[in-house]
Amino acid sequence: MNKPTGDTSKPAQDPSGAAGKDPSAADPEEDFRLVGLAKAGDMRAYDELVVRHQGKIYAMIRNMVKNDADAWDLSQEAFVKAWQALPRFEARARFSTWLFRIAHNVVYDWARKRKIESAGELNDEIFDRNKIDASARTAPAFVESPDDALVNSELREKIEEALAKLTPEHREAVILKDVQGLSYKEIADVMDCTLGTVMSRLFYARQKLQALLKDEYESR
Amino acid sequence: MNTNPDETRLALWLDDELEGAKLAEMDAWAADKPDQLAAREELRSYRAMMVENVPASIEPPFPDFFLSRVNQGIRDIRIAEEKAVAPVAAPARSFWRSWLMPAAACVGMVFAFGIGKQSREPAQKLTVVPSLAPAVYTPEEGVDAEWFSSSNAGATVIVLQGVSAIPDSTDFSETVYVPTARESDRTATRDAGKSNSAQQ
Amino acid sequence: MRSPFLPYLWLAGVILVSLLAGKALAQEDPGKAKIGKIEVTVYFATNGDPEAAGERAEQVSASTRERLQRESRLKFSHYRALGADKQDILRSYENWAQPLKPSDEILVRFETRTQPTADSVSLDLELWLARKKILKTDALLRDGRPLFVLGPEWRGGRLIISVALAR
Repeated sequence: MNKPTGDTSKPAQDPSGAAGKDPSAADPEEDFRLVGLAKAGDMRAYDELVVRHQGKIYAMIRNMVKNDADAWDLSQEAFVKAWQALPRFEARARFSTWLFRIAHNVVYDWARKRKIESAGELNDEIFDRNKIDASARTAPAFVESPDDALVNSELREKIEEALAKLTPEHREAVILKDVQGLSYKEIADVMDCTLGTVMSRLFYARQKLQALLKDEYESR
Repeated sequence: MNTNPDETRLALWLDDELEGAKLAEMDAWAADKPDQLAAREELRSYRAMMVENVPASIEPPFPDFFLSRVNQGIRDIRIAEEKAVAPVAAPARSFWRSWLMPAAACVGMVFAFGIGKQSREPAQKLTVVPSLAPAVYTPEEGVDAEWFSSSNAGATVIVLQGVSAIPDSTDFSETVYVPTARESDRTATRDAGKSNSAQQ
Repeated sequence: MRSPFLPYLWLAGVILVSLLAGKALAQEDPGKAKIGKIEVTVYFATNGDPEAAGERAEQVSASTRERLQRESRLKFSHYRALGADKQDILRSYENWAQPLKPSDEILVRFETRTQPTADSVSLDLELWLARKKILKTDALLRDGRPLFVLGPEWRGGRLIISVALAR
């Protein structure tokens, strides 16, 4: 079976084509309205919330776990847990920030579990999202999606390599601040730590990243 | 601003997170500090590079399937919660309750029977757990699907509406249908062979 | 006289066999275990001329015809079987059925959601028409209880896609 060849790393694009914009940032009030409906049992409203935020959550988790299959599963888990926790959501913070907090917990629980499991032998193949049996007789040829690959994929690879060199806490701080655009206070809420800890983690993470990538952004 | 800002204020200024009077104050303080201005510019370049190259939003693969899995996860939780509902514990029975309640129950039953006979509403059904209905999703705009359980046909049926017709010119003449008879096709009771009969 | 090295040779043999067996086991992917089979059949249903389905279309059995006609939404005057495909249900992998092979006009993707019971399996199913995903459903297939999808129009009739557990 041919694997789907669409580039799953396409960034969300606004009409101007700029990558990385948050489609729901323009209207957090709409999130609150949908949350209200979802709390009352309107599943379509919750579906709408999932659709609005799945890109951000998947991107964040994928940057944390570096594995499409696990990121896909963990993102779903985050939304299921969010639905369970919906009665406790209060509109004091952005819904997206609250979702990031849940995603943070999901990722850390998963990492803890993997640490325990990896003490024995874990067959990683079974978690491969591309769960397509190579011996399957029928193999529809997917139409290749248009090539929307980022122009500078080499630079992106370097950035990802540099991010991978950070500890999970530092990496998460950078992803939340420099990719997702959260404020220090929001990051502290997501990571359940003090503002000082956020600043300290960001400082060291950026220092390391800037040292590794200085040539890249100075040549821009 | 005559004194140096604290670490938090400086970090917020470097990260362009200040506004209004606080920003103006910090800008004034940094006006004669080229190293701080350079640090802010460097951070801006770094942040721009990150934003341009690390997407903040990535559509998960198979997004409609992603959603249906989320819905399934929610349904599974609902089923588990329904199963976990424990029967209400019987309250401690007092002497008065021990004979009063059965008597009241008898009266209630007679009363309810009388109302029930007069009522046109159907008898209360067992609650159907909606979460056991299959999820049906049609990603294509204009296409709808209606599902139902057909006791007549002994099957689940999904009726698609709005789906584009296959052009008449599409030919399946290369397809060779090999009926696999009893071992597989549960709807067959005999081999389906080509019949010379004009019937059917 | 027995060779003094014989015990060592035996030991070496045992170790070698164990290593090979271990390697084979390690390569086995439990996700590819076959846990069932489904059969996807495409019927042409019409109130017009059944010969429009083409020469190779087969008549359906009386039981199939009766079953379909018992349901008003699937009731037509004539039925023909255009094609069928039987595929394994794998434990952790998706699989595809292509009932009108070599045409990929109709494809069914399926993946198990739960461990099967003796007579049922819950599947995530997708129906693809003309290489577009048209329908997604989580179907509980039971022995003797197929899923029928009343699908697109074609040559004056409609296609009915049947998905059933197979042996």
